[in-house]
Amino acid sequence: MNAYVSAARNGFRTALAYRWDFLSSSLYTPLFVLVQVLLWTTAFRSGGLEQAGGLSLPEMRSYLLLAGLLWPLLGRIHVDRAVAGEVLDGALSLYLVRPLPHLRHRLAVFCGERLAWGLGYGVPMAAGLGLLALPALLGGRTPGAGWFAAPEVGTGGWGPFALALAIGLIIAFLLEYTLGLAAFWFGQIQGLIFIKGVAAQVAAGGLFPLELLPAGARTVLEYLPWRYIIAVPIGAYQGRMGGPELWSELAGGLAWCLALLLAAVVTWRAGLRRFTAQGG
Amino acid sequence: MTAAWESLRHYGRVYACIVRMSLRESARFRANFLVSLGAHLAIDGVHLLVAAVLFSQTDRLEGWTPAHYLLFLGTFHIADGLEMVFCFFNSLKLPEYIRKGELDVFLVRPLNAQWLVLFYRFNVESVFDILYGAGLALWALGRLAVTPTAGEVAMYVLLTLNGALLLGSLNCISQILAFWLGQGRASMLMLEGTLEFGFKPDVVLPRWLWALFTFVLPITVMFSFPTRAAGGLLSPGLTAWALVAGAGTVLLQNWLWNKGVARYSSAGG
Repeated sequence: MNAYVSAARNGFRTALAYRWDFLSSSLYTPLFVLVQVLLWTTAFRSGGLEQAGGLSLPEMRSYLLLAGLLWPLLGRIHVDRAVAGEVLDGALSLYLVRPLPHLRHRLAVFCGERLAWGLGYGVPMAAGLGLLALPALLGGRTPGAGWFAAPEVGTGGWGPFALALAIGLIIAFLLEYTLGLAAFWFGQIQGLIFIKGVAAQVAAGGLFPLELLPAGARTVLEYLPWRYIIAVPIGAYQGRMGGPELWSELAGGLAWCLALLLAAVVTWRAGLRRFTAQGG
Repeated sequence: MTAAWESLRHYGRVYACIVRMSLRESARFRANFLVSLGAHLAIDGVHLLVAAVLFSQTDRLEGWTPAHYLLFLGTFHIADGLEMVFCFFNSLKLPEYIRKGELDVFLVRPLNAQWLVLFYRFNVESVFDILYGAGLALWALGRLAVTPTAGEVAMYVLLTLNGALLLGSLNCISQILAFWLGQGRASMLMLEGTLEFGFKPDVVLPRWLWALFTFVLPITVMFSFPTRAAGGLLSPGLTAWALVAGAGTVLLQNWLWNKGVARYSSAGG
């Protein structure tokens, strides 16, 4: 257990060493979110829309705000780059002689990194979000009230929301871990990682609510794991899922965690048979 | 006049050599080229998807039709592609040259050092962006409610080139600041965040933001103004301002470069 705590601590320290990334995301993300909010506000006003994809304008703004803020935390985690790098430069051989399974070690490092990100980026952003939500929470008594919908955490309260976030993080980790292992077969996968990143942001609901997509595309995405990273946690936060639906979504997320874990283990074993490293 | 023409020919020959070398380099890494193409396609696809989703909910965006929006996207890809083909990736290396003292290599050559740093490599992968943007813009131009006149199309082309110049110049300025800041990441990031306001049609901006991003930091001028010009929606005053802003930004870039080089002390050994 100590070994994993130590790995998590290393992940935490490494993330802190790159603390400039917190600041850069903290500067860039609010501007990106503001532009998305302005775009959809104009669309609502121009089209005289009451709702889009079942969301009112304040709900849409809240969705865009949360999706934009959550994406650097849950979507831009770079596990795939790290794993592919280890496969390519032979650093993986170090793990093979250590008594720690690579997947668990990586997961521990990831937990440490995300903790650092939670503190360095998540807390300041949440504080900012709290300030934005304040007018709505005060019941329209301050200027700007009505811009954002008040948080309406789903039937189960904050617990299911936190659980949805945790499931989203694990799914994001396992998806990227398995993709990183593709380096065993393809060598350089930077391009693949980039393309996946762009597609994943859409499939996760990181750019707009998935309800805005045509029914066919929505159905396809419902059978894929990415929506658990952004769309489901936000759905839980906004209270758009009733009790049974919320629990069924969380169960679906856990099932995906198990399926992806299995895929990661199988891919690791198959890939390792192809791995060679020359020490120096 | 003859000296200027000779100088222009000399730079032309050097740049032709740069293009040849860059093409050879790209040909050596064909797989990278294909992957880069795939990456461009993915981003372009997402831009189109956002447009499709947006206009599945409303048929107009403050008077802008889907054709206007697609023309805007095409303009963005042309200007962005031009900037990436010629100078974007080269300018990103400037902070490192300054930090390591490698700028010396450029300063001692018998060419304009700024020109050489900014045009050191021709990024062939981004040519696709220009072609894609031009295709999209042509397609959208034919679908505007009122067919643009030849004058409006000419103004569109001029303002798109002006937009590319402005975009390139702003990015270069963010890197030139490394002479003072020691790195270009902070300023680049601030610029990237701010440029987001130019990556969407200017009709979405409230008036005060529009004024800020038109007259103080002229980023609406880059892609929205050419689109407006093609649709006959741009006044002569704003057209003139766009050109003044473009030229002014280039002059500012040049001034900052000269100031930066004056305070540069080689760190190389």
